[in-house]
Amino acid sequence: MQMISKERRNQMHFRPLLFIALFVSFASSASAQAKRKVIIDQDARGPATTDQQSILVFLQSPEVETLGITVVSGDMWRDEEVAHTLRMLELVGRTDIPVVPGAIFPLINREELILRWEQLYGKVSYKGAWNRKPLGDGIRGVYHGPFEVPQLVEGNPTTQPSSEDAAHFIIRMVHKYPHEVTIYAGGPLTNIAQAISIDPAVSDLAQELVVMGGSIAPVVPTDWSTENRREFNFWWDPEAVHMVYTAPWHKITDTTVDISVKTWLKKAMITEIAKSPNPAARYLAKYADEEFRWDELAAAAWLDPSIITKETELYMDIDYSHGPGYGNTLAWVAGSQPGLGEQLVHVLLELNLEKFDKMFIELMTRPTPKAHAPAQ
Amino acid sequence: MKEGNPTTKAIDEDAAHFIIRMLHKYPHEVTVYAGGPLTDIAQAISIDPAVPDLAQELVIMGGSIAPQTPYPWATTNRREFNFWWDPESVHMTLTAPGWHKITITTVDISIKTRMDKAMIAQIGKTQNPAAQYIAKYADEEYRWDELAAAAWLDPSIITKQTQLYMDMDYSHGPGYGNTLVWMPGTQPGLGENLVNGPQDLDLAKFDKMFIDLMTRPTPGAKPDASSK
Repeated sequence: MQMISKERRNQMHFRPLLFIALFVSFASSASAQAKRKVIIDQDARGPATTDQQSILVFLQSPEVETLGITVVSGDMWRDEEVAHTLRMLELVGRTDIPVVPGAIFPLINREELILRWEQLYGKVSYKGAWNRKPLGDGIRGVYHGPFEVPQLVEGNPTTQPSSEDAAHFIIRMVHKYPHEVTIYAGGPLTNIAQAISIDPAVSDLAQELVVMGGSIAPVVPTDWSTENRREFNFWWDPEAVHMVYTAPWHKITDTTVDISVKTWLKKAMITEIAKSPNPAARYLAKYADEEFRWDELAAAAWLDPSIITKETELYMDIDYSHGPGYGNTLAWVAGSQPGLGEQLVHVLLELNLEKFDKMFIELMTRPTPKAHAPAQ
Repeated sequence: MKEGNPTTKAIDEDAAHFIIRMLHKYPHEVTVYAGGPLTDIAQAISIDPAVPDLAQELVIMGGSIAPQTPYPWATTNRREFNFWWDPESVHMTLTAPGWHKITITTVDISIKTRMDKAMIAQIGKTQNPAAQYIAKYADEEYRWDELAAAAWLDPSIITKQTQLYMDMDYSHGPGYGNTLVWMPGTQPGLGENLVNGPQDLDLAKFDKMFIDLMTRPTPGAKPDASSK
């Protein structure tokens, strides 16, 4: 060390600092470039609810690049859901994100079919857009036809959806960014089934598939447990589930009802979120209700897998025979599956609720990254 | 390939989007002719439920009801390949609302349309490209798909036609892929459409039309650089 001149020592001090400065700037630009890409496929009921709130989980996170929101009928009809999504994006200032209309109807299932099915096999408690009775809160879920868009309580949007259809958008994006795009499915799988039917390369080109859907053995009251293999997203379009779940993906993660029922969004949490003046928080303050965070958990677990404390691997498929089991989730432990194309699925079982709550509040109360001036 | 490999390329667009795009471009002017399984058409309808209404009509070769055939064949007499290959697509297509007219050429009439060696030889006498293509590569076969096309071109070759409600058995039991039909008034009313089903034809007229079509020069053709 004594052999090194003072000038040299100064240089040696300087160079590490320079290196650190370069490294920091490189790292931040690299992490800016290395955002995780996602296509959010949603039956985007609104305002708020688990559907819009799960979209916000992605939008509120600076590490996510949302390529687009592809919309599918399910909880509501597609066009109404598109309107709720456009309006939400206006309110948080992210109208740069494309809203891409997808399937209006399931592949094969129909309201008329289900009405007949019920006469043989009994009433289905939740039928989304086919619900005759509103969901009790009066501001959403009023029965209407597939093409009607009622006035939105949160204000009608002025922005427009994409003119491209969801299937084509999904195909185009996974080809544009091979092995980089997560497909997140928070609603029925119709759009994704269409995409893989047109282009079977989609399941390989996607990075992974993240699903909220299905139900295996949730711990619930008796009246619910009589339909404990029925979960709405899967039930609305069973054929689509079968097509998607028997296609070769690199990774499928499924958030089933089993874990969803551990994620109740309490009024106290909504009140906590409402303390923030930021647009996403304002939106929840006005419109969020107590509900299970079905879709939010699926999104959050993708963002931060450490909130999941227990998961398992099961082969999964769906009963799409039109008998009493139509729409029921099928699951097998490895070794007992029929081997007709079923994929091994990561099924989330238990979570660190405190950690998820903290993460959720933090996401919902922060300013929306990359937002332009939001609408009033 | 036996006939030589192509040097031209297929277009970039997928069939479902092409169908959707064309029907929007020419509303109520385009006939959708389906000579194979209905997968593409079902995809198009699923993406855009306006497709059936925007089409002028749907012309299909598919399905089988009660063809008069030898016994081994008769044991599978509700099975026809196009429909059987993708039963769900048949159901999606045939129960889609909005079609203005559906015509389905079933096996029942197809088996009245045998093309024999003599006809191929007759066609082969002409030097035009289509005739030579047939002379070189055609085999004796029923003119399943040709009849469906020809009847659309000239409905007068069909001498007897019926109207039935039609759907597909897509349950995965022993009936998977079987054609389902009902006389009007007996159908379940779960979206089935009324379908025109040609039953009998003027074979002499069809043969004459077919030979005439296959032996004439191809309209709008450019000389093929690779033809031999």
